[in-house]
Amino acid sequence: MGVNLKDLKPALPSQSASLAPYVNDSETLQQLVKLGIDLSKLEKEPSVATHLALADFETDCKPYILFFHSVGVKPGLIGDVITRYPKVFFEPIENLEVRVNYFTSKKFSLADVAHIIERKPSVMAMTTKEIDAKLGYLQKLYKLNGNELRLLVNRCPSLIAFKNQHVIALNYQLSKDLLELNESQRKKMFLEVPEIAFRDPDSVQEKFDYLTNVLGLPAERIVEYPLCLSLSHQSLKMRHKFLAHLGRTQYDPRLPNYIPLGILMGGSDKEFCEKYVKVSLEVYEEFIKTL
Amino acid sequence: MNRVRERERGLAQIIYDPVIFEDTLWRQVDILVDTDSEEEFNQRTFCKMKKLLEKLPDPMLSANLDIFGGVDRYNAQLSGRSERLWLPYLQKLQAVCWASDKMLVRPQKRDEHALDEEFDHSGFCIDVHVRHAEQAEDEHNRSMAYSPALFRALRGIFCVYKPNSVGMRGVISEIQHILASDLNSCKCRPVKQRVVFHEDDPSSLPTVTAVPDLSDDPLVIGPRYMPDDFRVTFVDALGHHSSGVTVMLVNEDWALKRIISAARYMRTYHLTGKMGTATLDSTAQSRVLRRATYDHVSLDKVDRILAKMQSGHQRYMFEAAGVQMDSQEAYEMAVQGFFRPIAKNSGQVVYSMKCIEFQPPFFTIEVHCINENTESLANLIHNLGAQLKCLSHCVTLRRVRYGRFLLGQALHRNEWTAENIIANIRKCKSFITIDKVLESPGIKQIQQEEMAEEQKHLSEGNRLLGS
Repeated sequence: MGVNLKDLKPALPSQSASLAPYVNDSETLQQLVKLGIDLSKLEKEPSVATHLALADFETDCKPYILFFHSVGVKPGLIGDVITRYPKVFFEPIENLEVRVNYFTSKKFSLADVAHIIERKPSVMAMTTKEIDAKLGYLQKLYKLNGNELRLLVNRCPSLIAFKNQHVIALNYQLSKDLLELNESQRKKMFLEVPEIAFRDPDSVQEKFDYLTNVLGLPAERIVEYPLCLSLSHQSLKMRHKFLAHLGRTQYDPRLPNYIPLGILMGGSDKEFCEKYVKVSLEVYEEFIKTL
Repeated sequence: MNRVRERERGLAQIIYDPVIFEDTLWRQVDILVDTDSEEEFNQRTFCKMKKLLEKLPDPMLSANLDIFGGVDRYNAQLSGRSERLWLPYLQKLQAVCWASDKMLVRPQKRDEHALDEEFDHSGFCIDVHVRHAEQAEDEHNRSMAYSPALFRALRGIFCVYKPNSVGMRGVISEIQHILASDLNSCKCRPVKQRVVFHEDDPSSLPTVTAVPDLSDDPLVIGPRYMPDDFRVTFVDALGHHSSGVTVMLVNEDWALKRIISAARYMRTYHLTGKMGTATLDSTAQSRVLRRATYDHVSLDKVDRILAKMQSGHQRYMFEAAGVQMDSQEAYEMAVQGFFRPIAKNSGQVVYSMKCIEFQPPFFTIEVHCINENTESLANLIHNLGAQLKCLSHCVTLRRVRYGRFLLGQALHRNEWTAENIIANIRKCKSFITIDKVLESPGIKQIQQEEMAEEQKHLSEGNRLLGS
C-alpha cells in the first residue's frame, strides 16, 4: 500500500504553447487567475509565461500586487493592469517607485497616478527620463501651464505612451491650417478631446473635409463639438444621407428643426429617429437598404 | 445525370439540421432508407446501420431496423426521450449513408412516392421525420440565452444587406467578431470539474472531492468562442463598391454554397448610371477617360435602346440554355416561360431591363439576370451609354433580390447580432429545401405559390373576422 494516489498522474509537459497544463499544479498561476489576470493573453509574451510558470508567488509576484495596491489602483483592476502590462514582473519594484515619485514630484496626486496606471499601464514601463521628455514636449507644443498639463495627462494618459511625436505635431498643425484657430482655441480643443492628437492625420483631414464640404458646417460648429474629428463617421454618413433624403439637413442652431452634430455621431438609431427626426425606426431601416 | 445526383447527394447531406431541439420530450424518428440496387453495397450498409442501432446505450432509446417493402428498401425507427442521446447515432448513420431533407419544413408534401420519383435508384437516402416540432421550437426559444444552445442554432444560411464600400472579407470578419462577442457575453459553459484525492490519513481510504479544473477557466484557455469558430462564407459575392442582398452561410457545409450557386437563382439589380463621362472600368471609382454631352437623351430613348439590347440578350438566353433557337425543344422551353442557363460559365444572361428612374445626368435601370458579375453589369451601363451616344458609367450597383431572398429579409449592418442571425436562419430554412434548390420552377409555379399563399392569408383573415 505504499502507492500514493497523488503521484498517479501524467507528468507535466516540458514544453507547451499555453500555460493551461501547469495551472492545476502551480500555486502561483492559481493565485494570478484568482486576481483576474488573463493568462491566455499573458502567454503571448513567451518570456513572461516562462517566468511565471517557474515563479514563486510570495517572492516574485506579491510585491508587485502590493505595490499597485499601495499606489491606489482599485483591487478589481489590478488583474486588468497586469494583463495589459505583463512585463511588469521583470521591472524592479524600486524603478516603479521612482516613476511614481516622479509623478508626485510633478504635483500629480496619488489618485491621479493610480488613474494613469489604470488607464494606461504601459506608462510605468517608461523611464523617468522618457516621461519627463514627453511631458515637456506636450507642454511646449500646446503651451500649457502645470495645471493644464496635469489635466491633459489625466484625461488621456495614452498621450504619454504614444510614440509617434510627429503625428501629435501634425495634428496640431492641422488644427491651425484647417480650422484657422488661434492659440487659445486650439489649446481648448486639445484639452477637451486629446484623442485627436494621435489619430491618423489623413483621416482627420478626411473627416474635416466631409464635415465642411458635405455637411456644410463652419469651423465654429466643429470646434464646439471636437469629438466629430475623432469618432468614426460611419453612422454620421448614413444619418446625413437619410436627412438629405427627407430634405431635413438643418445644422444651424439658430433656425428651427435643428439637428445637433452630437446626435448625428452618437446615440442610438432609435433616439435619432424618434426624438429628432420624428419618423419611425422602420423608415430609417428601410432607407439604409437603399444605400 | 451524374452531376444532378451529386447535387442531390450533397444537399441531402447538408440540409438536415438535427441539432435545434433540447431534450425531455418523447420523439420518434422514422428512417427510410432508399438504397442502391447493387446488392453487395446494400448489405454492407445495412449491416453497418444495424450494428450502430444495436449499440444504443440508453434504456430511454429504442430502435428497430428491418426490411420493408422489398429488397432495396429498409425502414428503421428510433424513439427516445432525449434527442441529444440519439443524435450522435443519427449523425453516424448519416456518415454511413447519405441523409436527405428534414421533414420539419414541409411534412405534408413529401411521401414515399415522391421520393421514388425524385431519386433514381443508383443513389440512396435517409428520410428523417421529426415529430412534435412545435413543442421543440418552444423549448428551443426558452434555451436561447445559453451560449452552447445559441452556437448549435447558429448553423444554416442567412441573408444580409451588404453595405457599400466594404469587401466580402470585411463583412465576414465583422460577422464573426460580432457572433463571438455576443456568445461570450451570454451564459457560457461552466468550468469543468476535476477529481482530487485526499490521503491525509494513511490508515483510512482516501477521500475524493471534485474541484473546478482551472485549466478550463476562460482566463486560462481564452474566451469560450473565438471569431474563427464560426465558419462564415457567402454565396455569389458582391464587389467592394456594390451593396445589396447577399446570402451567407455559417457553420454549414460549404458544399451548400456551391449548390445554391448552381441553382442559378434569378437576381435583380438596381444600377444607377451617370451620363456624360466614361471611366476606365465603367465604375465611379476609376479614372475619367472621356466626356460627352447628354442633353439629347430622353427617357423615351433610353427605353428604346434598352428594349433593343434586351432582344439581343433574349437570343442568347436560348444559346446559354443549350438549345437551338429554331428547334421544337426551344419552343417547348419558351412555352413554359422561363428557363435558366445550363452552366455557371455560360456567360451573363439578361432576362429583362427597365428604366425605373430618369433624372439626368442620373438614371436607374432594373436588371433581372443570371450568371452576372460586377464588371459585366458595369459594362452593361457602359454599352448603354455608348448606344445612347452620351457615354455613361455605373455609379451605384445594388442587388435587391437573390432568388427567393428578398430585400425585406436581409439584415442591415446595425441588425447584425447573434439573435437576429439565428432568427434569420430559421426564416431562410424554407428557401433551400430540395424542391426549391434543385428544380427550376417556372414563373407560373412561383405565381401559383404566391396566389396560394394569398388565398391562405385571405381565408385566415375571413376566419378571424367571422369569429
